[in-house]
Amino acid sequence: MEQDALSAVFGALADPTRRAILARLAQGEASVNELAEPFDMALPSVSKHLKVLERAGLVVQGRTAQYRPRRLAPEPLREATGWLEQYRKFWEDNLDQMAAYLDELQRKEQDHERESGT
Amino acid sequence: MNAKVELEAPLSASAHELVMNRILNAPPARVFSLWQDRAHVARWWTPTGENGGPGDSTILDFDFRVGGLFRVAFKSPRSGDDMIIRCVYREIVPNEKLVFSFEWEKGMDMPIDMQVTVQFTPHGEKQTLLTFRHNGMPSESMCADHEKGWAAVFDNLARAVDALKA
Repeated sequence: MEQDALSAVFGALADPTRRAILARLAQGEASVNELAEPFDMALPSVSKHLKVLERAGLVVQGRTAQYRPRRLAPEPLREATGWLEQYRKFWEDNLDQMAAYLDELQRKEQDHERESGT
Repeated sequence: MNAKVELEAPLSASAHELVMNRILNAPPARVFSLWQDRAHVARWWTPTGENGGPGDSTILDFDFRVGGLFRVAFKSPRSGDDMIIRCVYREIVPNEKLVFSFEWEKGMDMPIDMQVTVQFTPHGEKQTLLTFRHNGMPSESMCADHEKGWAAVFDNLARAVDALKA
């Protein structure tokens, strides 16, 4: 998962209202009004939260004519729970380079020893 | 598909850890020196360059002691963006163990507290077993529900997502 996409997901999940919205959507799609119901919050505030969730790819809008139900898009969340895997590549490259550098150092030393006849 | 969501979940530690092992053809003191010496580190630290060798990274700080700072700047191989990694040494046992915190100072926004542990164990006569761990706990500061804990909430959502037939 791209780093900024991952940041967006974590940012989206950092808010308890947004987590509650996601939990509700996990039970099935809902309109903005339905989502706003449990909260003592004006609709524009709920919409703002939904925008954050949509930008993170966690919520998508349906295209039914009359109203646009929101649905949970699970992929980004699944990928985010695997955030650690990207560090595997980072460290494998890093450790590969360390190992290669170690070899290079030792080769140079052997060459030096050979040349100075020790 | 509708799925009932269990909102009350037992608190779980949910620490995630990456473990990698390597055998290196040098004794532990030698391998440890590659992490201890600034000039050495500058020669092998990431990112991987175009030809598979070390890319362009600049060490900004290197203070090898407990509480000391290690900062490296480089350009993301993918996006070309400037990135800075910031580490603070937490534990140093010469030729045996190194522990440091790991975070992105620039270029990435990760609300995860990460820690790296490197262990250097003799392997046979002249080799080293390098045991490498990178772990992370999602930052508690990110979670307003201090009782539940971020980890439990995250696990919860992940489980709810799995229950979805999406």
